[in-house]
Amino acid sequence: MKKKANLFQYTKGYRVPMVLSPLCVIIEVVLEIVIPYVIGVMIDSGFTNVDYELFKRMTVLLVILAICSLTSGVLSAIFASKAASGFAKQLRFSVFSKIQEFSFSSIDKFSPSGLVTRLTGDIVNIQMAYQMIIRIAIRLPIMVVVALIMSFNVAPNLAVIYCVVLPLMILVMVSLMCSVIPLFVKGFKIVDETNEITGENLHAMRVVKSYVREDEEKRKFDRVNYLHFMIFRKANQIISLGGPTLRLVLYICLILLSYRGTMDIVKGQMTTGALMSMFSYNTQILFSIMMFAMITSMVVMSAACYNRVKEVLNEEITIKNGDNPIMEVKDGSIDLKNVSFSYYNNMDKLALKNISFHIPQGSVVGIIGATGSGKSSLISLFARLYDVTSGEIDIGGVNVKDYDLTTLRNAVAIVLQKNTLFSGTIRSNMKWGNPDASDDEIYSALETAQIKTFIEGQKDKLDYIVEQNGDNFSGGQKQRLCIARALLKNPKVIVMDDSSSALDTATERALQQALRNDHKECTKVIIAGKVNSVKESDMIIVLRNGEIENIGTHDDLIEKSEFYSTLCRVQGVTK
Amino acid sequence: MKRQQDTGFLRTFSTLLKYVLSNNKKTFTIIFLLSIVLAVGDIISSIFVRDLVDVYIVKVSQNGGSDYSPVVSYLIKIGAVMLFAVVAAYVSMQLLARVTEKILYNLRKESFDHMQELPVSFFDTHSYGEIMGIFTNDMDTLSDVILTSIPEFFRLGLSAIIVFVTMLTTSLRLTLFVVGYLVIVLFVIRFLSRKSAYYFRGNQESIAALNGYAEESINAEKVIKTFSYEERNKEAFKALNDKWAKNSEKAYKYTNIFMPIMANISNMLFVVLASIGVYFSFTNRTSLTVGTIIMFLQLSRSFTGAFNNLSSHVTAIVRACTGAERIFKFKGEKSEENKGGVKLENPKGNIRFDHVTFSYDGKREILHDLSLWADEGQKIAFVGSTGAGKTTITNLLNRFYDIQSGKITFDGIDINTIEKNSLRKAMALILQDTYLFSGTIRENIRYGNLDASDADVEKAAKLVGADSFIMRLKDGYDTYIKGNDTELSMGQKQLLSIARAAVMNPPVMVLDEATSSVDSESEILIQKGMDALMKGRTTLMIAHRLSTVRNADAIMVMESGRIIERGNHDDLLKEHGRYYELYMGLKELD
Repeated sequence: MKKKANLFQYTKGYRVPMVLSPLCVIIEVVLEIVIPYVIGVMIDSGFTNVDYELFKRMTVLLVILAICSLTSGVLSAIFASKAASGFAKQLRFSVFSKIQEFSFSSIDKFSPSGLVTRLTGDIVNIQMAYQMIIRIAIRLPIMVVVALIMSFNVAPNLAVIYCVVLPLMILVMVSLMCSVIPLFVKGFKIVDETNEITGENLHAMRVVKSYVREDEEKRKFDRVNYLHFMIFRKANQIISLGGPTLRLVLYICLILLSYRGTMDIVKGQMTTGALMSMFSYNTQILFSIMMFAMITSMVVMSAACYNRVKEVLNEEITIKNGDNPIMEVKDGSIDLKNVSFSYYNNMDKLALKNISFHIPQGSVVGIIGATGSGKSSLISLFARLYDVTSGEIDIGGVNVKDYDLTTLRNAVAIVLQKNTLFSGTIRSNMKWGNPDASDDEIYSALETAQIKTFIEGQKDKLDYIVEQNGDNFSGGQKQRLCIARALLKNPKVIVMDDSSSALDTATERALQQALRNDHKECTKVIIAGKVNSVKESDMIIVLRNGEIENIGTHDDLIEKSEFYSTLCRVQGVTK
Repeated sequence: MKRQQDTGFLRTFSTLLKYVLSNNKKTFTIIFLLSIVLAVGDIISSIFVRDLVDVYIVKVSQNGGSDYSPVVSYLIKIGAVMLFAVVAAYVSMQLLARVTEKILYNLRKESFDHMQELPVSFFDTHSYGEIMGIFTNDMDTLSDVILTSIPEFFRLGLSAIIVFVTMLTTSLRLTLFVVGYLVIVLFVIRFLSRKSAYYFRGNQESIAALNGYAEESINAEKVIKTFSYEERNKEAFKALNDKWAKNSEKAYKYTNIFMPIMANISNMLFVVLASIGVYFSFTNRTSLTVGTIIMFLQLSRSFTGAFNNLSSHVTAIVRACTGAERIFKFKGEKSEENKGGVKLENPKGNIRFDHVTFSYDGKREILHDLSLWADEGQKIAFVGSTGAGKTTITNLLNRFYDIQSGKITFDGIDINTIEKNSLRKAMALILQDTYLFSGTIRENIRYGNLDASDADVEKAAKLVGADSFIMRLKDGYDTYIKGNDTELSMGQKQLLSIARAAVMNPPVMVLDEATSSVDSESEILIQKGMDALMKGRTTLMIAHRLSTVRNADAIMVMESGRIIERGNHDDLLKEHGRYYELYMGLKELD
């Protein structure tokens, strides 16, 4: 019930076909049941109460009924595909839109492949289930009810057997369903596990081979595969009980109907045609019950897909605009006041502890520290990719939480460590930074990023093709393109998270010089592994285990900071 | 073209049948015999009506309803036959469920086992998605077909034939109408399945387009957010999504109308047969009794029912055969050869490349006449741009690929004559991308040596400096990690893979850019572990950062498959060649 209430909003715009499809189904079902009745009447017109006129009328009627039934059947199918595709389309779009609203912490929570599966496979399954519900699942109970009414109408004496048979049949089907569904749920988990092992092995083929672990992997797979086998064998054996049970009930009813029918016919209370109609209803009723059980199981099983989709839709968005957001960032000064941050919102598991500093507008700041010291965590707070757990961050003198998110993120350009280019052209990638950028502006950004000459050397210039993930560029070229793209935003603050690590020393120096000259007003924050990359900064922040170890210039730190001086020594950097 | 497709399908189908039947001939014979019983039971449930109406009801009517015993004994006889059919149904279905699941189990097992035997070149030339598709989509559709469609195809086919023959013997003229129905239905099936196949291709294409877009954009979701690109991203997605919805509507339209059309054509047949039958009774051109007409109608229901189901199973089988073809082709891929018989006893780690020339595809040479040696315990580093052939050297050493000319020896023995497993056990490979397996930290380290005790595992972790971060994890060494989807940092994962190599304790270590995805501060930590590990072992290292190769015994600078400079750090600097340029930061490596 809850499921329906939640999903109903996505049917908007497609409610007409959604209603018409079951409506047509109802017409089709009624016709399908009236037809055997009319045939019964017709047979009687030929044999029991011979009447040629009646026969002719019934024949014409039958042809009309059959054509109507065909039409409504086809229409319901067409409406169903329209309603289901539209429904899936809207559901898929809202899932994708929801992902666009995700905070970084939500992105971390879901794996990208999991999200893609939800958008494609899972929603296709939901679409199928939906289609099945509005066409077939509705059809079957109506079929049973109408056929029952008809059989009570035609031969109440005979129809009474259903009072006993139907509850029994339903009981059997329900118990089969109840025992099979949990098995399937368990089975699907095992299927996932099987796929996981296969996937891991494919990725790690070289590891498996070089450690000569083929046999061990085979054993690992076999353990899961065998479980897979046992569970599905059991499930299938239970399902296989359905067919013979249906047959048994069908036959018992046939015999009972024949016996009672014979008595009534002999007594003249019933015609042969009526008996033949009863046989048809018998099949229709019993088959429908079994089909209904099967389809219900399938729909129930697709609930797992729905639950996965729901996880995304119900994900709480933690980073949102406040009321009356500020639409302009004045300058690029950065102030941190007692900032602590935890990815888990847990003060015991802090990634950053009590960080405070002031960065004046336009300065160059280096951040250095070991893996896990909190460098990337720190800068992601500047653009509100995550929210601080306690304390406050001000950019341009205003708390980041008070800005409009788009305004803030356009003013604070972050070149992420794991940055990517998108398939398209150089120009289309650069336009990410500024959709209205002219070619001149793009070239000027490329120049600052020290990649202009390379692009100009290409035949297609700005139309040079970028493959998926920018795979047709070297690491250093990709980094420079990503920096150029960020510069096109004309930001107040630019943060480069290990973004020039693949550049040679000369190019890196030229890049930093160009940044100083061309973007004087812009605050430049550089995270780097190489001391050489931050050596000339106005201020260097040394992080250790989420805390500030020291702040100062290169010359200060080489004296004051134990970590920094060790780093210099290892990397061969002197005063 | 069409013909070719047809024979391709038939070949796959017969391979599939042979596969299903092999080793299970007895069970399937029993199932087949039971199916005959079942089909006969079905027929009897249709034809008993004729005698009931024409003979027994008449008989009882004649005796005025005083004696029902002829009807009762007739129904009991029929009931007994039906019961027999129910038992046959029960037994055959249970047998089928058992045997088909067993077949699928074996198919999965054989395919996975075969995958383990395939050479590395197979994995380099087939994408992850391609192979994974065989194990998931193709296997799933094939499972459904083996479980239901193939058995049903035979059962329904058999029952359709028996019913048809019974109809023929009952009334030739009425059967002619059934033949007419068949012609129409076959025409409709042909038309609809072509239409639906056509639109499904379109549907498939738009799924692929959307999938590609979603994959790229979701993987870069963080970048999208830093550029506030969400709205434009949504627009692009919407266009693809709308197109998919349109195509899916068309595709499902043709699939959905299939069932009502088939069912209603059967309905028409029912109506026509009834009308004609009754009409004959008026014209007196026939000896058809009312019982015969009812029986024929029942038969036609069974027949059309069987036929409709048959056609949907045929569609399913045809669809699954494309996947089945891929599976059988996969199973037929040649396994890695292992001709060498020499087992390395107490390997030392003397490596020699003697005029080695190699090409992956037989066309473009990657290594040209390359010679080098590494004596026991020596540390050799390779420096050069991507594509210079550094990784190729490691691929050849452990025989992931075989060379075309020249000779590689290990402890003086030609590696082609050494048993592959024994050769591979003599060296540990640490790659740039770390690959861990779902399991505990302990299990992942023990991967290097299954006989290692818990103490050995911890010792190895301590040796490489991984112990401290492991102890900080939730459950220490028993923390469960999920393959590559873990919360561990790159550096931590790499430390685990180094510990895994340490516990293996081989005489040779091969490090392929092992530290390039780790930042340089962490590299300092790892370096200690690495130094401890490399001590006393022959080490081949491919390095990205020159700082890591400085104290190698020899550094090979490679360019397009040749060694252009060799020597130790100091010698190379004095040479003022390529290495000097790189080291001074005058050039960057691609």
